[in-house]
Amino acid sequence: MLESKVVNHVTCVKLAVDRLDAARTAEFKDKIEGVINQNANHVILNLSAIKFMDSTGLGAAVSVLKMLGSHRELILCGVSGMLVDLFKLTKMDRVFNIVDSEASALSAINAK
Amino acid sequence: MQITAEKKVLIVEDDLLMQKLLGKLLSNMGFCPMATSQGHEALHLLMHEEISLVITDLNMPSMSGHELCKAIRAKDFQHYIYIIVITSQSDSQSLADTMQAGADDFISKPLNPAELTARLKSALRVLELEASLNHRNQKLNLTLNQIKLEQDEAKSTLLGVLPQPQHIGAVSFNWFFEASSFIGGDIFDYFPVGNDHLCFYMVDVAGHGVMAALQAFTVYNDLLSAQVGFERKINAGQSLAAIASTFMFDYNNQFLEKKRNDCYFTMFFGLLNTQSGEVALVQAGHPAALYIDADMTTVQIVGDGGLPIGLVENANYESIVMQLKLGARLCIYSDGVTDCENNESEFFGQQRWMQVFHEAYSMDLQGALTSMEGHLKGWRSNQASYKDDVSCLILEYDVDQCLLNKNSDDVLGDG
Repeated sequence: MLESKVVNHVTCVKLAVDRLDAARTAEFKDKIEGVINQNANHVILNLSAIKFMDSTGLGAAVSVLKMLGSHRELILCGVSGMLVDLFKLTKMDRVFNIVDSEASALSAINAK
Repeated sequence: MQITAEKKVLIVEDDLLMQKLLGKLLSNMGFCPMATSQGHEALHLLMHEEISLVITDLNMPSMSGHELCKAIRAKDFQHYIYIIVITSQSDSQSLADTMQAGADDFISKPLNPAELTARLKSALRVLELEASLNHRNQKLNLTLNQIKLEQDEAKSTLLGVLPQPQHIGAVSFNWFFEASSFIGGDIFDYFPVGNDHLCFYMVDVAGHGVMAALQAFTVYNDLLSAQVGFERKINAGQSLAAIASTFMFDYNNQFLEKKRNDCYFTMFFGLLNTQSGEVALVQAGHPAALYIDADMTTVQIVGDGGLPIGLVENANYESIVMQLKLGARLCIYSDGVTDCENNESEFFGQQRWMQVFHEAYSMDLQGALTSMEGHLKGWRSNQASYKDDVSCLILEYDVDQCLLNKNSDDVLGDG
């Protein structure tokens, strides 16, 4: 479900499924918690493979934000299609830091 | 050991001497042997007696041991039947075939009592394992049924609190709702606030299951208790926009303070002056509402998004203020509508929903809802149920009802 790698002390997590909905969020939260607890890195969450996300999936993304606390950053990338509408509808595009690609996410973190 | 199905043994052997010998050995070991010389009769006995252990000869006229094994495995018995085949050394190929056909073990002629005991012990081990597995499955099924029952009860409790279609002042309300197979967390309601106002809302709790249903029910009760506060503020002269915004701001913070899990919900909330048609709406992460009146050639989308309830502290909720024209309709719906997928996994989407809402404007309210629901069901086509709760609530600022109201006011005024 997740593919993760560390680039320049940043944990990059890519979702390898095309739906993040009620059926999958428990597994997602469990797995990503394992990945982000391995170190104290900032996290980039790549959603480019996700074609459908429902409110439970959005809730899971919010819980990642909470898992990281205030000292670690979360950047989302690869948000497209219906996900753009969902983030806009729920105004969560203002809560999350969203950039277009993993590369721009990395340079945004490294610029700090 | 109690005499249960696994202590009954059926001997299938055409050699009567062998049949007797085997029967004696088994009796001495504490089994209850039954015997027949015919494969067909063996099948008949197995269907009418609870027998879990069969010892059969391989070479028999009319039905061979091999055929009997196949016939037993082809039947759907409630319990497992363990088959031991009696074989002579020359039978090695047909023995292999018979094991393939479903025999569990074999014993060779001449019979050695020690070997027979060992084979039977191993048979009993397998049968006991099978029985305990069966027992566990039964318990699991019982628990599963209990959970399903509780879910159905939660579903019907939620359905039970949904309001009847009704008129409140000049406003008619009607709706359709269908719960997903796995209970979701949609709920909606409308009620009068004082003499000239009303409140309506729709909520969609994130997630499914009894937790979502419980949360939806909590919101339903919270909103009912808020009724008095709304009335007091209206009487104090506060604007509907201010009352709606403040309510959502406070409610969000209260919810965040109380909640113990990741639960949150989206909501579309409205306060309406039934005399003037002024309405204040707050969209909290819920799909935008749709509006149409007689002067319009297209459907208007109401709301451009807003934070859900229960995710962000001190979130601001801006009110959208509108003036409903007579004959106008406002449609609020859950994302189960727009996220409804057809067989090709294509979403129904907002555009199509706007179109069917527009087309149905010429029909009466009930007819419009039936038509809109029909379009959605057609989209879902042969899938048994929706993946998410589907709620659609339409309010109509009704000309007739408004006149009726005015007339009754006049009558009151004359009095």
